[in-house]
Amino acid sequence: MNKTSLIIKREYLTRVTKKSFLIVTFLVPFLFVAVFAGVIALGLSDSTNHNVLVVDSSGILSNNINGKIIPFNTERWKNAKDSSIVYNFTHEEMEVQAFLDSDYTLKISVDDQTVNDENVPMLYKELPSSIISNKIENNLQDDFQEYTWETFLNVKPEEYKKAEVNIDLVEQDAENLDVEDPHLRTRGWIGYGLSLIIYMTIFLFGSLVMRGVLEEKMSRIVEVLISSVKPFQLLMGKIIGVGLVGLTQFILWIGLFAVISAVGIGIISSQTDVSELAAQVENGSVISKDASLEQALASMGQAGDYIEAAFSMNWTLVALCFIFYFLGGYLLYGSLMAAAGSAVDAEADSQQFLVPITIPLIAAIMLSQLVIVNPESTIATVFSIFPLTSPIIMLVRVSMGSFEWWELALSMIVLIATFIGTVALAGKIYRTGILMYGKKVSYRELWKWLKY
Amino acid sequence: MSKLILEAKHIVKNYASHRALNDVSIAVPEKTIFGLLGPNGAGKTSLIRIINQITGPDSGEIFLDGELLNRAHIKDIGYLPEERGLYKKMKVGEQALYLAQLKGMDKAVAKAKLMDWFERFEISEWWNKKVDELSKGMAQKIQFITTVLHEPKLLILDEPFSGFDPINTNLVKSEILRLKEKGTSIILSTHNMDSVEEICDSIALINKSEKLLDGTVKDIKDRFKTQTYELDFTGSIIGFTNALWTNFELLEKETEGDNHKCKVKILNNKMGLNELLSATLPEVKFNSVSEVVPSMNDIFIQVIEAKNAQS
Repeated sequence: MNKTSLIIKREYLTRVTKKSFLIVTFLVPFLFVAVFAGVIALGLSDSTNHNVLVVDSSGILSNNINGKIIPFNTERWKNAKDSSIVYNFTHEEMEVQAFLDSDYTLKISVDDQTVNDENVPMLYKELPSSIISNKIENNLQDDFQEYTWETFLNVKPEEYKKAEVNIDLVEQDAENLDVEDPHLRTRGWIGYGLSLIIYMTIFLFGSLVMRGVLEEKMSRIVEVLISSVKPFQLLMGKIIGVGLVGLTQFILWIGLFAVISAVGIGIISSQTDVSELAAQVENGSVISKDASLEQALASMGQAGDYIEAAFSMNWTLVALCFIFYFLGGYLLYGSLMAAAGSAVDAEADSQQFLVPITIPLIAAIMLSQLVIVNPESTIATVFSIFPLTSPIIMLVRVSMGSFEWWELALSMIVLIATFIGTVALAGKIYRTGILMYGKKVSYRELWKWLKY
Repeated sequence: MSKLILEAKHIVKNYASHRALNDVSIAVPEKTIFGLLGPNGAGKTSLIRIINQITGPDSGEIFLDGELLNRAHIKDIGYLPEERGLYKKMKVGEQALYLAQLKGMDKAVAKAKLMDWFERFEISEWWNKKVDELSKGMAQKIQFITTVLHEPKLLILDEPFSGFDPINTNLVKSEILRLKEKGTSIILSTHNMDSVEEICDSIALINKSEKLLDGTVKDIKDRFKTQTYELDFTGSIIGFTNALWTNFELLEKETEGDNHKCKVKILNNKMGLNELLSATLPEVKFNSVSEVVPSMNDIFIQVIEAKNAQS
């Protein structure tokens, strides 16, 4: 058997047979979903309960019915069972001290001047979350809007609603007029999610390579190994072996995600009337834009938006690009991290070389948000071709469908050329570094190694 | 002259800031033990790494068994580096098999041979243990086995006795001699001269990147003999001293009652032991006479000091 393939085999098998590999493989998708759901749940609910006193001294929003002060729009201010906000209306102003002594957590004061100065004071004991504040503000905004329509324009809110218009700007590529495209940015965010996965896995597997190099160096086995194989074979065997571990993990993750989402869609479709959606997801056909489906998706709010956007993506291309940019980015960064590992004696010392390596990656993630806003800007073009950022930026643009074919081709060619270059460069540093013990290595030193 | 297993000709190796080897040539006869001696930092490991094709020389050539050194020779060489270790988390047997396969051995053949070695070293039960469960001595045995398993023509041991406990040192020594009997050529590299004097057939002495001396141990010792003899006798020390004319020099004397032990150096190189004895015989009664042979360590220090004085 070829020596490089022996090394690949060892690197691969020792990692995939580890318990930690199985744990990570099976736990991550669940954690991912759990964290995602958790963030949404946490964001939507403020765990503290709010007892809100609305002081409506001019009786603009509420009415006295049999001694009880009740808002005109009971639906809007109703105390929902699951809501953490309870509203109480009064016409009597309350002193600050009395508020502090009371059970109320928030006090809002409106009067006939509110319409003019457009400011509503809210006293709090403990600052509520912005979500709570926004809810209250939205209620007040809607109530006052209706009040002004009625009072100043003499129009009933229901009539006004009929006349209301909501405009969505639909961006369309003049060269692709037949493609209707309202989901450009949403797709960008899906691409951002994918590039986050690339970002994390490059880090994860890159540092696995680095630790592998360090392990061989610190256990002093490396000199035995390179008396049998060339250092470059050892380096490539390690990088390829770990890369295959990464691919294996992705394939297992995709499988698991498919299972989880099939189950998830099953649950959604059993609750809402989107059996058609589920059916179409299962047989993978492109969704038709019929009314009932549109309605179902609309009822799902933002999640529906993402699902629609996801269906409007060219998944074959995105998947191919994902694999390509993962491998390209991994080979590029993995070889640099391997070189960093070979130049030091202990993992703690690797920081000085790791920081400059990771800065472009972090910058790419930050830039990718700008790219979603303006996917065809010069910055987006440049950084989707620049090899240290292209694995992340180009993937976002491909997901959005907002790129030129020559840009994609150039980006791929540049990435391939660069990783061939960095692997060769890393090989030179590695060759010298692995036999260098007890020496604090500087960049000047590394430069010398390149010339050996 | 016997056949050479290894011949290094005019090897030069430069690192960024210094020259590690300066025109070093060595010739290792087949089926012998060759000592590559020199203090730490002399360039021994640099030369060994070049022989192992870990690095290349800047100039010079190396021939293994008459052929210019190439990658196909990897399987003909067994190398135990000074900095040695094993994968800590990997099972012993699996690891030994892996290293054997990297040397180009067939897996099944390697396994059978490993089993033999493990039995001979009485460590068969360690096959499925991880290395970090082993004691240091056990790990060293495994390192030695993996070095010699593929039955190399040339075995290179860099500081083989450093870090080995006395029991393992003896085990390794007897294995080295056994391998020599079976026809393996061996290069031993060490800064500890005394440890190899008894088992080396020939040596090369390297200091500060240059070869100072080489040859068979016997020739070198003969060359560095100083015509000094240790004489053990009974009788008058004064008479003995007076009998030593200008041709002789009394180096040391040790007296115990009537019994004396003296070291005498013959200064005139036309004279020998016979002249020394006939000069002193009338004065004393000799109990024993022996030639003082310099140890490798003495020669080593002497040569290096001479060299340093020169420069």
